[in-house]
Amino acid sequence: MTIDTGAGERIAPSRSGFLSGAFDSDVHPNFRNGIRDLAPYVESTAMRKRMGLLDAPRGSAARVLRGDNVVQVPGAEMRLPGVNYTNPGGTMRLDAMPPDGGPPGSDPRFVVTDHLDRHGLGGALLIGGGVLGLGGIPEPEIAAAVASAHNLWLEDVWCREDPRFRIALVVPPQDPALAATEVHRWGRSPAVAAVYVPGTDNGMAFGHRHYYPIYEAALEYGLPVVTHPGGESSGTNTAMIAVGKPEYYLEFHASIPQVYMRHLVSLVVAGVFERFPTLRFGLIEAGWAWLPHVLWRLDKDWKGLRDECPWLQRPPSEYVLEHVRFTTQPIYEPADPSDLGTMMRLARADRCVMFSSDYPHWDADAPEMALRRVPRDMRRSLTHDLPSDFFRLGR
Amino acid sequence: MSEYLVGPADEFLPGDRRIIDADGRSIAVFNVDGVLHALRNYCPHMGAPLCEGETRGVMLPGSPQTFRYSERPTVVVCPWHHWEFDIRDGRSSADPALHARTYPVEVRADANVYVVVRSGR
Repeated sequence: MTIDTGAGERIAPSRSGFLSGAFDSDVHPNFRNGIRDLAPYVESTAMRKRMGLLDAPRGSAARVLRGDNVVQVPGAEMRLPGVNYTNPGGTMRLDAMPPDGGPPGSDPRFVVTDHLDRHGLGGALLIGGGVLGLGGIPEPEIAAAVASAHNLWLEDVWCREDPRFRIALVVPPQDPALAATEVHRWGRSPAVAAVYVPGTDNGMAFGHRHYYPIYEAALEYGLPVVTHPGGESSGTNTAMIAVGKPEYYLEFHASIPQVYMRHLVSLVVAGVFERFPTLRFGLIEAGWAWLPHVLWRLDKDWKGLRDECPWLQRPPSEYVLEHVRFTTQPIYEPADPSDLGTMMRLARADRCVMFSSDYPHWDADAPEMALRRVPRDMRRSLTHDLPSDFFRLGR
Repeated sequence: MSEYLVGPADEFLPGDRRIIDADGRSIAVFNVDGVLHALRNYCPHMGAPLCEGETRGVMLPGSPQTFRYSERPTVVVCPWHHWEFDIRDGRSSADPALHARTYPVEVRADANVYVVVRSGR
């Protein structure tokens, strides 16, 4: 079979230019050769040995003598955990493959032209596509080493290519002390826009005191904390077992917001925003259309259950609107498109939702197409004002 | 009405696909089991280059927990969100109201394949 592909029609930047200079809160840089890409950034020989990367890029570090030849034993390289469910079509936008091959999102120059420049974006938060499941690595010290190497890789390969790329500094949720060390290493770097705690499902929602050392460290540098799905069901994490684990990718993927409803309620009820009154927390790709229901119910229940959490001085929804931010993708597509504005008003989106594309994942939004139904008077808060304030852009 | 040359018909084999530029409109011509079909290379959902996606068969409906697959390659799958469109009529497999634009394809006396675009389409 032969396939000729011509220059496909590409979406032109919007004439009104409402995306010009916008900040995209969710872009995924991916490895070209898997974890081997990190080998140059793991300083400790012992840790490279532990990760099976001593011989990278040649491959496995384990070798045995077979006859007169030394041969490599496959499988000694560590595997980065990822979602255990299989998407039959893969999880990448297939048109986002770099021209010279390699996985979508693995060529920084191509991401600049194919995404940032095409839409006139002013910046993008890089959330490592290879480390979404970092919280499911069983060994805390290895998770910390992968995180450190990954952050160096982001700075060296991505931020050097274009300063509009900003680092979501990945840290290991398994070990908050090691996570805090990583934050202290980078806290003053202008390339870092947020501390990224990978979505996890280890029995402790984000309000749990387990995580407080990470929040304290982030606050020392005025950095927001963000999280993102992908850890659920990865590696040693359980599979969002609220009412039994999903059996299909579709079930897993459509149930993601359930996990973040729990994280949000946990953050508020545990009093995280009373304990850390200046903490900013981003739930990236967690959805937002469910906010009217969850916040109303939380406020309603709180009125009769204040004895349980007397540390909450205000209705729970007020903490959310002040401290927590959500992102647009996947943009909701109500049957009557004009209802999108109503949904956004109900969710108070002008106060808490930021623009994101999720490039180059399979469920990414085309920025102009996704935002064209957003009422004009709400667009700028999504694309410019809220991200600028949340990430302290231009500080 | 405008006509656009795609190429010699005898070079167009079952399974082949060719994408042409029709005055700024990107159009794909597919050979499905010996019959030619033309679709606009533009997904009606979010504008992705639909026709650069995978062509394949379809999973057939059946009773729960059973799988039947028809291998005849009758759909093209959008490279972004994996929505399927029937190459023969542009219809979305999931949403009957959603269509990719289709165009007439003709093999003329000169043995070349042409796509016909009526004005404004």
